[in-house]
Amino acid sequence: MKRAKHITFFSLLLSLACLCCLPTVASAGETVIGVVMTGNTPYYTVMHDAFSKTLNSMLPAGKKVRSIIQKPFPDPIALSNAARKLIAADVDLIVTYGSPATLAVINEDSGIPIIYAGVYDPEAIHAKGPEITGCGYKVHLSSLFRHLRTLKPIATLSVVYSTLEEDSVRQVNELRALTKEQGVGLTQINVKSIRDIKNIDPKVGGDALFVTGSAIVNSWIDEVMAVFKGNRPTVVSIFPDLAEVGFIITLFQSPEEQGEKAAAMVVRVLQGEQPKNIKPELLKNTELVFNLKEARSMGDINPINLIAEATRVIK
Amino acid sequence: MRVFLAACRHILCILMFVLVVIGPSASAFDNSGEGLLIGVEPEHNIFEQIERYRILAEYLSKELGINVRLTVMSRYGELLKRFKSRRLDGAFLSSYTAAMAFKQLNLEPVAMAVNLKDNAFSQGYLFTRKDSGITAAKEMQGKSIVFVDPATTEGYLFPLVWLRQNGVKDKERYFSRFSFSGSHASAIFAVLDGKADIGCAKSTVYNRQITKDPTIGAELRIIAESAAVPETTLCLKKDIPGEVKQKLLAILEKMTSTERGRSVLHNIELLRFVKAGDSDFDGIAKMIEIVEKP
Repeated sequence: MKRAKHITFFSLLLSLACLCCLPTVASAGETVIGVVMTGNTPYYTVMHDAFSKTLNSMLPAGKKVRSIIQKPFPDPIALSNAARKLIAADVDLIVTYGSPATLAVINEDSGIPIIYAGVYDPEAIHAKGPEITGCGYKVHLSSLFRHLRTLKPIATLSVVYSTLEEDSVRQVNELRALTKEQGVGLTQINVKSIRDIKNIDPKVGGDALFVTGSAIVNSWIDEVMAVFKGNRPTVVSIFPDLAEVGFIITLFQSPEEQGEKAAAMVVRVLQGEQPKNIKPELLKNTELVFNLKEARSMGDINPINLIAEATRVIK
Repeated sequence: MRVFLAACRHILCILMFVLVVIGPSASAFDNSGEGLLIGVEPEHNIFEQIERYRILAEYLSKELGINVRLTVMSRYGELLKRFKSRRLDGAFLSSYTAAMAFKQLNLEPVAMAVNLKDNAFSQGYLFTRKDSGITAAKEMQGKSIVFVDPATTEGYLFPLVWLRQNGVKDKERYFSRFSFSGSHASAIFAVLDGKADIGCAKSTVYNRQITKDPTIGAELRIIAESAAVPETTLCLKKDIPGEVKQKLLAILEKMTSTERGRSVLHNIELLRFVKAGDSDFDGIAKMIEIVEKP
């Protein structure tokens, strides 16, 4: 009997604690948007800033919208918890940035409309359903690799990714096929925690380092680059060099544009349209940025082709 | 005295009239001592091009006995606009600008350049990425297209003709976006990089890129090909003396017979030059007719 009392008491305490952890529930007449983005990735931060700015400018006068932002570490449990918190808060709509966050919210199958942005090749993860739409991107890794090879011969390529993020894994798989086809060696550097970065062998850089669109890797990009201090590799990425760590070539699609498109979709949903009736978009405006300043420090290179093709050259 | 001043004024007016009429349009060749000034359309790598054509200019100057200067223009079509102001005597022209120059500038074809594949002609290619799923005009609706330059046959005129023949009359409405890359190679990279869904370029540049990097061929799909058109033709003003043109043609045709000539040809990546004629451009005139039809 005494034990039963204890169980009841602790159950009540746990329930109370859970309720306290939940984000504030929406008040009447206010629309609440839940946002899930992984970590402090600059790419998603810029995307969300553009989203917020566009949303505010597009909302009808008098319409109140409040956001609840979740920034979990991109492991499945943390992402799933973030999704559940938003569902429990009874948000009207969930905006997700990146593939892992999107998949985590889809898996909860809550029936709440989901608008995604920053998802790499959304078709590949079957980001489809009556409640889902959004704006994704696809970078042709073969193109980035081709531009890299016009700069210098590549015998071995290292790729930094995270097995915690499926989009990052897909990019590695694409790269593996590509490098195999072209007889180039590939070294994989898997980063799941900050400890993994400390354990990277600085000599593993190869002829170039390929940074995937991993939220973990891009959140800790300063730490990754610091490993190679003194033995600085040629770094290329499918994310823009927002942290200005010295990527030589970046081939990417604008985070701002994805944020703006997601905001426009959210406005349509708030006006009563069903997500299934809003066509998902795949961004096409690829930008090729060439960091000539960094490239010059590499010595004997031939950057004419890249200068001609780049949409922006950093001098 | 008044009669004398009036006469002077008349003479001055007549002199000024003569200067205005013949002055600006007079070629460098007519102003003896300046030699021939030949324009060249820009290639993808303009720095390399200037160096290669400098060697050709030196060779022609020596063989012809007059100073031949070559000047690379900043973009396609620039030659048509600046031919008179730059006081050019002729130009190495791509097929579209040549066809227009015959009409507008009273130029005539003299010699065609034969490339390393033993071909003086090129074709226009319309292409997409293989993974785009685009195989026909109807699948291009709402997509983006990159042309090369409005003053190119392979990179603008041909795709416009093909689109018309496939039911697309208004490119501005049919495509979500269209742009001009400025060079054939850039149009290829624009499609490869995903900057555009559909592109066009001349076959010679397309094939050269694939020879350099075979992965390009594996990623692109050619949807349409144009008829062959002259790739690069030396065109000169009709009023340049016939003997100068004949001599220039003879020098160009005989380049393969001397070691120095072969070395120059090697530098400009050509096999030889052959005589060009008006009929080589008949196909382009037909294409222009199709596009100009309302």
